[in-house]
Amino acid sequence: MGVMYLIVLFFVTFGLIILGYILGVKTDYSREKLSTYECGFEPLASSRQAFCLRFFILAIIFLVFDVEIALLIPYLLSVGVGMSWVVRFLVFSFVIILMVGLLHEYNEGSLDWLF
Amino acid sequence: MLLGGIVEVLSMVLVLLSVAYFVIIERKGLSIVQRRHGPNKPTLLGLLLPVADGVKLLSKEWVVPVAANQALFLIGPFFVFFFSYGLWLIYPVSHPIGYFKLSLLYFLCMSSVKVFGVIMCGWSSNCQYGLLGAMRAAAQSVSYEISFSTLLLCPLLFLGTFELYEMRVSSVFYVGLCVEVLLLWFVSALAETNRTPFDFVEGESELVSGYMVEYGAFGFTLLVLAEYGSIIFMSLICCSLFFSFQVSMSLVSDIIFTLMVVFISYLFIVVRGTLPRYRYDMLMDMCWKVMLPLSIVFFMISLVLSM
Repeated sequence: MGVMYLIVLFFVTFGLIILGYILGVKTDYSREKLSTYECGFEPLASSRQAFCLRFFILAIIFLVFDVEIALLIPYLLSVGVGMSWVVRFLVFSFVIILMVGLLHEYNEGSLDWLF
Repeated sequence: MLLGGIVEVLSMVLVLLSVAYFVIIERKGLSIVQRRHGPNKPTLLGLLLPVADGVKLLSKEWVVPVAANQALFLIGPFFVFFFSYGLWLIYPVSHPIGYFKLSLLYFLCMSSVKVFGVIMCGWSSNCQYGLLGAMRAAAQSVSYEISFSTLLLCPLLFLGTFELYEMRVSSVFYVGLCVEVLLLWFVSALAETNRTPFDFVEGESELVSGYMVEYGAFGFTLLVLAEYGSIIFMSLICCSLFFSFQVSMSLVSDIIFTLMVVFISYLFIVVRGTLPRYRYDMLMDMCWKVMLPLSIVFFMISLVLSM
């Protein structure tokens, strides 16, 4: 049933794009309409510049914390079943280790957004 | 099988209709904040404005820039729209489309994959404004996703299930147990949906239109619909997690739930009309240095409290 909804959604999206094409396609191309936008001027430089490494560092740190969340999710499914304090203590220590890691990153300056 | 298909199409159409009317509610809401009328021209009170908007937008000219990567340019909005509306599969009602045991996990996955669509839109536009807007949007979404997910896990420590309907009818007002989680989560939701005060993606004074700058008719429609759809869905999650309740008749319960969802989505509009936008580096600093440590601490508090 769920897959049916996603298939219907796929076709609705496709249909919207096709509708936009049918209603809006024109063949009187002009140089101004087809060039990329740069506040009315000619594009000064290519947009394929090197990107800032700050985004890459951010993605790496995000990866670490996302894996943390992924590892916490099975515990949440067993909350009704595994109520022993040992399990809870272990999860707590896991989260403490992550907190220490975050504070270390803060200290090192990886979390500063320098521009 | 044919009947099943009709149900899905109907629910899809109704969701799109509600999102289209949310657009006019936002414009009227913002105008009330500014003490003016807002759009009331198309018909009485502007009630057919979504129809007018839809017709106008889809009939605009189809322009794909010559310098853009044609395939990715078309797939980008498709991606964003598909993963925003694929979320509505798990709408928690008493007679849902399908039984989904891990619906909240599905929600987290779809929200995360949506970021790919944003990057596709921005990078394939081959426009510097678009690329910068896409990088900023992706970095913002990705940063706030962690605190968003961590805070989402806090009420679940008391509940032990990932199913939205079960959360909704658990009849424990988690607001009492997790007030701080709700407040911080709302801020994270504002950042996830790129709403003011975190709408650096579309900061007109800075980046013209962010990653949507090259998109005309179809792309703009899909991207805007996706954004508003995700706003309504965030308020739905908020309502089902934190303000859960159940009365005896499930239909009455569903209606009250829907009204609460609409009320919380109005909060998004009121916040937009009230708060200014600061700076991108302040946004990132706040996420990594304030909200992430706080959300981990709240998780630890909920872990202890749910003993």
